[in-house]
Amino acid sequence: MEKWHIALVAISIYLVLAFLIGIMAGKGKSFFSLSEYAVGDRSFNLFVMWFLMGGTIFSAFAFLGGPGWAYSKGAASFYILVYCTLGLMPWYVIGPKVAKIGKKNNYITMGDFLGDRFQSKLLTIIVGIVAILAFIPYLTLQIKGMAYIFNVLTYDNIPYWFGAFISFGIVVIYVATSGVRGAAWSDVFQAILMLVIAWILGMYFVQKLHGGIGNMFETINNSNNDFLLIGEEGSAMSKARYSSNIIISMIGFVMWPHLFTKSYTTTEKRIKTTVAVYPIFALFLLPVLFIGFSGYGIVSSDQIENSGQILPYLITNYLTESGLLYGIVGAGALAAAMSSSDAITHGASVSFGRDICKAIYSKIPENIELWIMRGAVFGVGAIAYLIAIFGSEGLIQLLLGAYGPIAQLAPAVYASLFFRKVSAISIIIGLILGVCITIYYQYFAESTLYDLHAGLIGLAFNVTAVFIFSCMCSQSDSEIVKAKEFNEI
Amino acid sequence: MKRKDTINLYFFLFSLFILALLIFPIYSIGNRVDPFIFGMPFSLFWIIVCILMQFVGILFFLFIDKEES
Repeated sequence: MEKWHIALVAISIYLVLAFLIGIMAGKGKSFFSLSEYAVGDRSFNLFVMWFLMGGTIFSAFAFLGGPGWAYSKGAASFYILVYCTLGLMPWYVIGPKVAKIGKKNNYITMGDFLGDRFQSKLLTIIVGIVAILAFIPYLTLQIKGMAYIFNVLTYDNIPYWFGAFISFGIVVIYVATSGVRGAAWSDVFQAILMLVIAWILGMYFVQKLHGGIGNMFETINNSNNDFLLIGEEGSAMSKARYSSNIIISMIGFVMWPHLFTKSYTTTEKRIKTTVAVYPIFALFLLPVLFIGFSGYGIVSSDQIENSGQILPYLITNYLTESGLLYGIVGAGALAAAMSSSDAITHGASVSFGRDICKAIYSKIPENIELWIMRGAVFGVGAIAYLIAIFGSEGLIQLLLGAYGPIAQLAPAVYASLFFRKVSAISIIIGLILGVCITIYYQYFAESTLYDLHAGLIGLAFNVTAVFIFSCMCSQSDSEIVKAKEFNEI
Repeated sequence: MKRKDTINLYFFLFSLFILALLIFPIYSIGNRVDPFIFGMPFSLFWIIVCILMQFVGILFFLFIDKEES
């Protein structure tokens, strides 16, 4: 038996397990309940929440992109640690409020929440569209990751399209049948698997290639003095860009509509505890960066097409003793990609059903809405799959690209909870303006002001617009009532 | 102001504090290679210490919140 056969068997066993856990999670729960599908009847405990939040963040981006960044950009990759830690902090304050009012008024999405506060269907639809536009590139990224892993680990014997088709197909099926509970329980399994594997790999490569962490960093430092620093001559990222990336992540992180929806899967108290234990998850990311650093000076940059391939390259070239180990690594990387894509696919399906379909035609009965959501799992999945296989772009650019527009939702969310005077029209103008400015600086402008993150510039315009138009336009009567309710929760 | 809101305000300030430690200009203090601690450059060690501080800090807030209810 060749090595890749053993690897394939190990990966297949993992896929079967993930599939069974995903399907079994929904067993005994109502298949026809919208609340069960969307928010797990608001009953998740701390254990599941931690893995659900962690697994969602710990994506193919972290597993393939993380080492890639460490390898090619050095200290700039610390950004990944920092955003994972800081990102969830605002949730400690807004999460419980969002959960409380959501339970009272029966919300399941961010569109529900904002649309009701500002008494505007239009806003709900805009939020739904922004969400889905951000979900698709994110999902594309995960699918690309899955395809890579299959392709590289089987030495090209499994074609690019087929590996992604099998692994993402499994995700689509268990999300469509078991809803958020399927995503959550498979995340528990996937997160444990990938954390264990990340640590084993990190320690193994550091030891084998450099004989210890200290040696590794000293070698790197000797060859390039600025590689482990931010904003120096030989560093990969300027100080302004590094800082503004972190700020925008902290603002944008909990604005991801699927994370927002997760506020509705649990109770207020558990949200706070989840935030408390979350930084530990960030520490688990450390070895992932070590993997990338260990390749520095060992693998020359012309040996790989792009930096995202550093982990697969190290595995195929330096982890040659055991086919089994090799397969387990593949499973871990797949787990990282799958545990993010299930939550996002689920989020996209719920947004599509509730924020777009239901908002446009409010007479849709609940059971039809549920079937629209299940159908959307396949629809959104198919679109992302096609882009992943036939489209092309650098791994991380895609994800960071989606981050900017998402952060533009922040003024709406914070205003809804803390500022009573803010009106619907100002929020809508601010949101649209912010998204346009962000997209302009991201894709069309030669450079941004002071090298700041495009999303941050958009946000400045967004907030200014919200402020000016709130002073100019008055609220409707029903909006005043809602504003008071949201403010006092 | 209600007591709950006061706690939230303090939490907000605490978040800003941790954020400030991790971005420039304050991160300039941590942004250097020497000394190596546990084999890691100081720039990375600084971040890990901040993460641990944040963890302990939030536990503290959680404790206060418990007292509350």
